[in-house]
Amino acid sequence: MKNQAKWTPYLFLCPTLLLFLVIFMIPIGFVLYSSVFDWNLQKPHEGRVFIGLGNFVDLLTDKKVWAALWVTAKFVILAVPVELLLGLLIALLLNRSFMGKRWVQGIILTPLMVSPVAIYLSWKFLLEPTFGIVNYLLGKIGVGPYGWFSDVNMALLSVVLVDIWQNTAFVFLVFYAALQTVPREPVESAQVDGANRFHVFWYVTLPAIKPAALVLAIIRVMDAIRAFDNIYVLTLGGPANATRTIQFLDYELAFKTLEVGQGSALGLIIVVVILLVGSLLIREMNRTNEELK
Amino acid sequence: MSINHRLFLLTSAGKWVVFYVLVLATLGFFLLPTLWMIVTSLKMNSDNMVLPPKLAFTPTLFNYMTVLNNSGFMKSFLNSFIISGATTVLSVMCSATSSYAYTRFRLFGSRSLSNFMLIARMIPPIVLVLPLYIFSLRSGLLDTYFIMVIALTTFSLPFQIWLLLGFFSQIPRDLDEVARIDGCSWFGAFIRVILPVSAPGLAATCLLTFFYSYNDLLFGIILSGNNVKPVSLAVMEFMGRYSYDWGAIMASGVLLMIPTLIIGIVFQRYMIQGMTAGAVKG
Repeated sequence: MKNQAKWTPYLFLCPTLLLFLVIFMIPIGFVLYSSVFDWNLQKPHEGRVFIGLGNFVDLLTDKKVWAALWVTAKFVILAVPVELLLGLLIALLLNRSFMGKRWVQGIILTPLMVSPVAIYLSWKFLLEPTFGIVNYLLGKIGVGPYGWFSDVNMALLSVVLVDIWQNTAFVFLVFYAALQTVPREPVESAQVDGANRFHVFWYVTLPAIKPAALVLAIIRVMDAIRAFDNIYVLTLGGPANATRTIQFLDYELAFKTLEVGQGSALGLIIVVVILLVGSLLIREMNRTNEELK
Repeated sequence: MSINHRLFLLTSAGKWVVFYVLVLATLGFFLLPTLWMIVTSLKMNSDNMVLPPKLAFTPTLFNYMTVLNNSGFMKSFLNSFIISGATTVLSVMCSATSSYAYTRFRLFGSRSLSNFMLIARMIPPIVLVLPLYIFSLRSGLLDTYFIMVIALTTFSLPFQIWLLLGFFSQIPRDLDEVARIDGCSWFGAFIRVILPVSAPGLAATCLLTFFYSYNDLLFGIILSGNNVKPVSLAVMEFMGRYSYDWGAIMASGVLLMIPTLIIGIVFQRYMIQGMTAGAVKG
């Protein structure tokens, strides 16, 4: 019996460890390996040529890489804070009992249940320049018409708008759940002490939901850096590369021009960027959790 | 809740009006796109390409016929169900056993595992899909259910383990101790005691994995061809071919969202539990 206990845990871990090794570690090893080669699948006769850090040097001195990084940064900075704020506001708005609450919550959660591709298609038609209902309604109040996805200056904002619609529901959901865990006594005693609602929110509610906010920030920032599907369906990186995110550029490199070496190198650069941003946020999260204990 | 409630009884009806206006505005924002997609899919294209937008029209299923007559569309539905179903079963089996082991035994790295999983989640799919693509190109596995399921499984494992670690650690250890004393093996205790107790958490995990696999686009674009093309990709290609047939495009979008919408509404409780579990520790 005692002997059995020693290897039992590893029996439980076996399937996952195997899968992780085969399709997580090996691919990452492969990417590391191929990133130091000049390797294009379209030119099989040239084969693989070892060029050391050549790919990285090429990429980091390439304007289009920096442009794509800038587009990604703008996307994250424009979308994530609005989603967090809007989600929090809706959660605070609905954090009380009222008639029809269940229905309202159910409807707000629909974006989470609709396939993203369907979401993007519906927005493509909503923001269609000629027959789209948004331009029509804006026209009624004398604004527009806009080209939305086809306008160089508007395209990224339009993608951000769709992202906000798509992801605010998730933020709302998490904040709402977090608000249910806010202890009542501090709120009540603060009110007895004559604190107004803003003070209660700022000194009692906000610190209590800070951990949830940080996890949300991590999840949303990471997802936004990796944004691909929305660009693929909505704009294909255009017009004039105004929405070509770093992830989409990597897709083009690796799967359109089949530059495996460069694609791998750029993939690694993305991983480094994500890990840098991610570890900063995770450290902040762990610190907050420690303080709460 | 009670404080808000009492406060609200004191305040005037005016505040309620403001409140409901805000709620309605929120609802409008979240409801309009989906609703308009459904409306558009039920209109003839001659009605869709006019301004002002027609609100009075005779509904027609013509667009749905166009989509469903497209050979391969129904097949892609089946493909999506096979791929997402198999991914869900395979990956939950793996993640449940290993999360259980990590919450019950002292193993290497078990303290930082949760953080590690969070980081593993961050690795962009494009980095993993490139080696998978070259591997399946060489081995002839491109465009098979096998490679799609494997790709999606690896990618969903980190987030599942992250979720399940939370669920399993909430189950008191006494529970499996009792089962062990009654003569169960560790595995027996896992199957007979832990799995039934954690059924809601497992259901939530399964549901989210199914959603994630069904909604995936990137793996489909790169690893699938005509044989196992998932429906999300079929819809995309459909759009490319009929770029101005908005009625048909919207109909394909509605068909695409029906399965997840039904599952989501029926199992809303579990979905909410799964989505909030990792982020909110109650």
